[in-house]
Amino acid sequence: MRSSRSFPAELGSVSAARHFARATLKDLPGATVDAVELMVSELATNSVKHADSAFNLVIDREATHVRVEVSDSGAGEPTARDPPPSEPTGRGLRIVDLMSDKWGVRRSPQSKTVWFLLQTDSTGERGTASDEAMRA
Amino acid sequence: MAELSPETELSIMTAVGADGVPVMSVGGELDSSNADTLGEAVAAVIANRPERLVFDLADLRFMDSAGIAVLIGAAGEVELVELRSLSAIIRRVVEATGLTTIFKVES
Repeated sequence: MRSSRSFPAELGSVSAARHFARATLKDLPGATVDAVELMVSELATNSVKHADSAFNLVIDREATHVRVEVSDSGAGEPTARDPPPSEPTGRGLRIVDLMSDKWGVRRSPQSKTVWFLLQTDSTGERGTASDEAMRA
Repeated sequence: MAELSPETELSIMTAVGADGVPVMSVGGELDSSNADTLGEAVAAVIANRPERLVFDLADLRFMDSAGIAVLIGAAGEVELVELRSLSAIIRRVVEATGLTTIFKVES
């Protein structure tokens, strides 16, 4: 089942996108919803704050997983950094890498899409998620 | 002291305990739309030069990396920042990104 919504390029869109994700997935386990909500917040923030762009949020809900896409018109290259503890910022995609089972970036001439996948059945192997993401 | 941000609902209350340590209780949702509001409240508390600062996050329903950035900034200004009542998901982020080296995390 697919749910999608577009949000304007303003900071208030970040919480609106979170709330949309929560409402869409409300009957899934709390830990899953919390993880999706946090990752959506990070990606939405990247769109409106760093890319200064409106964004489109797509949530695909399947039997075994949730797949989420955030697309914007920004040109920057999303990079998962691992900043030292003393550095306040730069953790957005690191959090997506940590919380998701897979994630990646897709580009078209007009847009870039950052997507992530989170297993919702109990067979997901979180431990290998970042390795897979790096290869994706 | 309580403030409400117009963007995303956020409440900040600061109290000083009997031991003189300021405790900032943060509630609502904390993200990039209102992290500056918390940052300003933290700066006002740090201006009194406390050695320690406690954040009580029991009423914080949501926080992302923008909120974590404010907490890291505070840790750079005082000797010890203690985090109380972290949600399970933020605890996981704090532990996985090495931030337990700069915060005292109370269970």
